[in-house]
Amino acid sequence: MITDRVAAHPDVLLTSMKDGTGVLLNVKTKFYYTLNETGCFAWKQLEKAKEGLPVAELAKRVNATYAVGLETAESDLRALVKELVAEGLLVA
Amino acid sequence: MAVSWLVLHITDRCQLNCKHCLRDPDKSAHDIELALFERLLDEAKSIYNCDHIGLTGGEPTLHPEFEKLLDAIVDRGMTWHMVTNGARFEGRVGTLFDADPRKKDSCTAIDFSIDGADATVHDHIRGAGSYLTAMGSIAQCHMRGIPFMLQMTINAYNQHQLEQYALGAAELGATRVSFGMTMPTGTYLDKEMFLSRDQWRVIQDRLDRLKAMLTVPVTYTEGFHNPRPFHECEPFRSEILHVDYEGRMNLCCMHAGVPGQDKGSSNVADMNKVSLATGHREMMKMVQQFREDKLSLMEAQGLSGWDEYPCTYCLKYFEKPHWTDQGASGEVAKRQRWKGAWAPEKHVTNVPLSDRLPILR
Repeated sequence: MITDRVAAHPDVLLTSMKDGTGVLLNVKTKFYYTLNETGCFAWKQLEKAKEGLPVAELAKRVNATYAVGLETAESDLRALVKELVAEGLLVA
Repeated sequence: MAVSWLVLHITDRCQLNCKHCLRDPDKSAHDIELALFERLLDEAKSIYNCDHIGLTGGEPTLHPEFEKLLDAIVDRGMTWHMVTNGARFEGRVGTLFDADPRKKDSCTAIDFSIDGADATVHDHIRGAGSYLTAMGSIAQCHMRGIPFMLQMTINAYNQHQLEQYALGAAELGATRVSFGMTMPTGTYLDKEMFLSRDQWRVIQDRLDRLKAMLTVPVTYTEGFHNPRPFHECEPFRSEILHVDYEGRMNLCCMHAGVPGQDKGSSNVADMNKVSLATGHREMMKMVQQFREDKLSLMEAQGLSGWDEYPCTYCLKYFEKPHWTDQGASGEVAKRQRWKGAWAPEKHVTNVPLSDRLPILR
């Protein structure tokens, strides 16, 4: 069960590329994870918020920037968050 | 091939303050002159058909004309690699690669100096936060498809992590993992970093085991135990020529800007004044003298102990800090490490702040 508030794990580094995409590196496991532009944006929002953010708030921010529709943003983010929590990249 | 590559120590600037750093400039920072750099490239290409340049320092990316140096390399159709602490990759190197893909395409490897398998050990040696910064740069290489390798300088602080380090490098996708011996710095820190000859033999065995076990190439540099008295490293065989940030041709990075740099004869020529071939001839004469002197020492039954560790013998021969069974011996560093990490006698220094190594940020 994922609680609503999620935060970036301190062992995970985001490296951004010029085209807006990025790569997450878990410095403990040495696994890389590629993020698309929206995922990269969402991760940066989480990095800025020391205590993490509720997924709903994250969705609002993504929608404000990318205008994908709040429902779509939240649904896509919940799927991404689930995956990132499972990989130990996000703390729920 | 004679002189398959040149190693150019392009600057002695660095933004870190590593415990094992050998540099002891005791004066303002130096950067190799662009005109000299270009002339050396032209001569290396013309004389030896050399097509590869190694860049080291200090931190090479801190050279004020770093971009122009890379231009000089790619304009001549040469390839290059660089030893870096990884602190300026994203903002500096990545930007240069984006602006001119030739610079990326001609780069054969970025060699990251990582001195621990985790942030705790690495940062203890190289400074707080430096591990994560370097890891970010490695991720940049991964994303951009740039080959990279990891190199660790082994000492008492990190020797327990060799296996974990090599495995981690393989997991990160490094094309090679290299290990080197820490040499004495001429500071009080040598006492903390010292490993005995017996300990080095065990470390060497562990490295040999890693070489056999891992699929990623594991190498170790010259300096480890070698009982062959006339074994010669690449600079001795004229396969690599080194020129430092002041334009001095010398044997290798362990002879550039180290305590006692003006003693002995390891700086064979001022390349600002002579041609590359002339410097090379002087290097050959020095190497021959080195060999003859070693033979004389053998004749007198004078070789023992640490003399079977080639870099230690070489540094002793040239009157630089070197290991002995009692710890470090030889010249003492003159400068205070910036940020006050070291000065003689715990640790008062006469070197004014304004004269310490300036840093470009």
